[in-house]
Amino acid sequence: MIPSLDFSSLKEAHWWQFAVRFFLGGAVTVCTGLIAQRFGPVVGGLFLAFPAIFPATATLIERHETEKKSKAGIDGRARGRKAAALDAAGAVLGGWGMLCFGCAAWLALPRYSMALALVGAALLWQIVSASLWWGRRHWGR
Amino acid sequence: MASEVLGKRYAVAVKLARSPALEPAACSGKRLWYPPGMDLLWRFLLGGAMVSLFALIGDVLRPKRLAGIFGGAPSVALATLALTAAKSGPAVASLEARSMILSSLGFVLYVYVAERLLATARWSPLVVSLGGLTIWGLVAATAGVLLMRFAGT
Repeated sequence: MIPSLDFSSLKEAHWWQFAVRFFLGGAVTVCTGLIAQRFGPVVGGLFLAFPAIFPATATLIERHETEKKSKAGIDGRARGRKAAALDAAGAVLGGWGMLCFGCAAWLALPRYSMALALVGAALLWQIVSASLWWGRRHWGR
Repeated sequence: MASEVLGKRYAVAVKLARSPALEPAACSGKRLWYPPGMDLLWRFLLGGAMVSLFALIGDVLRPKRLAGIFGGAPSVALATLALTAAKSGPAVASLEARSMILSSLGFVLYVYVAERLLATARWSPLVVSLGGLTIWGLVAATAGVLLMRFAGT
């Protein structure tokens, strides 16, 4: 399957689902800053890999799939949970990319400008995650 | 020469890390300074925007497994590291990124367990994703203890 964009899922979503994600993301970032202020950057840095997106996304995916199937008169809970499992499988690949992001940021931040270090680290995250996805698709199960 | 400069920067960062609070006044040079309330507001807005952006890309991208990689996007890290580097300096942000490497392992374990449990279709994503946070928490706490003990900060 060739990667593509499907905007229909945005039409099915409610405005409050976006608001919840914005609030959760903001709240986690604020908490990380407060923890770093109180306990120092070593402890604060641990929260940079906090799962801020996955819980909300997995729940929304299940809800969308279940609603879609229930409109057709089918109990779609099992399908919704399997769709969330696929999302989790992708998040595992994203997690390995996140680890590479951390390594790149750790090494690059003291040496290069902040923008270059962070953009480079983010690119590395994308390349590693997408390569793992591609590799798994071609050679994995 | 370059290694000497880096060594000095790390020494300052370690000194700051040992202090209970990162005061803006403790940071030299052209560091951003704004009132504490504004700092939190910027963090909230930037963090919320980054998480929403990555989640939105994950919503519209297909296939689903590829979209899932955005569930592991470093959204909080990008927002936090940018603000920390601007406010307290790149060496302090670098220390935060070093801790992130270990807690990323916790993230990978957390989503792997979530994938296995969700694939059985017996557990709801809400229960799995919230209950599984204890896995991430345990790995992050262990990493924190190890870093404090052996990394000298």
